[in-house]
Amino acid sequence: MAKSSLKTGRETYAAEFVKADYDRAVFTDNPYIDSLITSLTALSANVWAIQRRMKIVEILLEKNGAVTRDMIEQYQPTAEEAALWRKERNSFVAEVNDPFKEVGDLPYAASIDVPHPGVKKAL
Amino acid sequence: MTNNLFPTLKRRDLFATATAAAVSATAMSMRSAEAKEVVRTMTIRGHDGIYPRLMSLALESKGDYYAGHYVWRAAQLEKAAEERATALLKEKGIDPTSSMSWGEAVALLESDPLIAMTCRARSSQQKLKYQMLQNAYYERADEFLSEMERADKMGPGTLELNPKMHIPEYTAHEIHSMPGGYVGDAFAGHMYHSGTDWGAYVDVNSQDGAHMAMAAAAQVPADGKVRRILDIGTSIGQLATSIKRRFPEAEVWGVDIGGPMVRYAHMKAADMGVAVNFAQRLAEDTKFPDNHFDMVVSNLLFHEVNEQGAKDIIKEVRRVLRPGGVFSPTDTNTAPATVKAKYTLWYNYRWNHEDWYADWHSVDFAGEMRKSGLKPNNLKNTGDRYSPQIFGVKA
Repeated sequence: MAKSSLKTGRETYAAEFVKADYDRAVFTDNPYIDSLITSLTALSANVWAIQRRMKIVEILLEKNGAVTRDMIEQYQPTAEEAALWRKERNSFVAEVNDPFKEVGDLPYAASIDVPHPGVKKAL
Repeated sequence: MTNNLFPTLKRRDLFATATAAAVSATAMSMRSAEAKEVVRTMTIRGHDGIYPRLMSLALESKGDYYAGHYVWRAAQLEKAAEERATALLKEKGIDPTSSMSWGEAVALLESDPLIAMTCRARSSQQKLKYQMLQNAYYERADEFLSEMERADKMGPGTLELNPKMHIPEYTAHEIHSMPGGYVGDAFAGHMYHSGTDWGAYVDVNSQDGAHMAMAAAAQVPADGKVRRILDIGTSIGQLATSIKRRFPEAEVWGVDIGGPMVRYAHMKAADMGVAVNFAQRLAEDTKFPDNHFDMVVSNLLFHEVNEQGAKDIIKEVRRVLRPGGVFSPTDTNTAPATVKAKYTLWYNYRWNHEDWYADWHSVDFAGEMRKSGLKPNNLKNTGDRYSPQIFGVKA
């Protein structure tokens, strides 16, 4: 059984638990490719967070001419802004991730003879 | 968005006027009783509808990306993988909807990189979002623990914590890869709430939309009398508070094995001004008297307990329901339609750590209801296994 790693003098009401092995899974041919996909996902989340922050800064600057950190943190997007940002988020997610669903299936050296059936002369 | 029935109340305003304080004696250990209150230093970011916003814009925004990633994987990547699986199976002369074991489905599909990517994408998203949430709460643990300590003593509604109770091993797994599972982390409730916002409940969780729909669909006893309702495996209390909104005059209880879960549930319910009583108890041993409840509800409980647990819980439901009382469980479908769906179920079981999926998919749910004295209704084409909209009535 495992214990929470949280260090605190306060009551947590946490009990011991059975540690799972989800971190050990390898789904690709190379565990570093698995790691790269996770890294790319984390990086993309951070890029989106910066984009969202920039949108808020631009809106506040336009409205007030100045911004503070609190104003940025507390900004509540309007319904229209929220809908637009969601659309933009989905486009960004697709731009980053669609290549994973459009993987090729032809080994590059398998078509060495001709680049297209209409081309008669091979190298 | 503000709920018309229960206008959003701010917990910090309630501290000053709270009169109902019913934390059980066992809950207040010396550790927490003596701990000094820590005031939150981060910016209070207001509410998004019925719930407070997350602690920082960065956390909220990265979570927003993970929600988008979940939607993309579930809609786009899974669709492409389903098409690939269909093509692969047809090449081998296999009907993509043919009946086979999970193991056979995995053996047929596991070597395809596109299909495997569905698993990688899901696991990466799960790992990152939970790690981010845990890190964020751990970084300011004393502030958030202190916030819960204050809420423990607030009303409306009561909270019972039993830190010395026996936790059965089967309940202590890291279900769906959540660090510490439901019992092992002080911030299990916090992580579950945001984690499901950005996952299985994306777009229907943040304002309890899915739970309000479940509460609206819950079956009522034929005589129409609803005085007491129990939500078993209440988790963070979303169904319990939704049920209370539908039946404002009824006494509503939510029980869960996870102390941090019911603690969070109580904090959120009190914050919203919804009077639900939460208790850290086992669904198979609720401690309530016989024939006590008019209705028992549950959501996504049964696929997270082992087969014996499921049988024991059904018996307990029958015991606490009064004659004519109704049991309305909501859970995952047990009838995957395609070979690829079986593969995905296996992934969820093996690597997303839905550790009791195999048990769940073999439970004779309606049969167990009958055995215990509950008459199952609304069975669909799943034999005697669980089917959506099933409900049981106590004779």
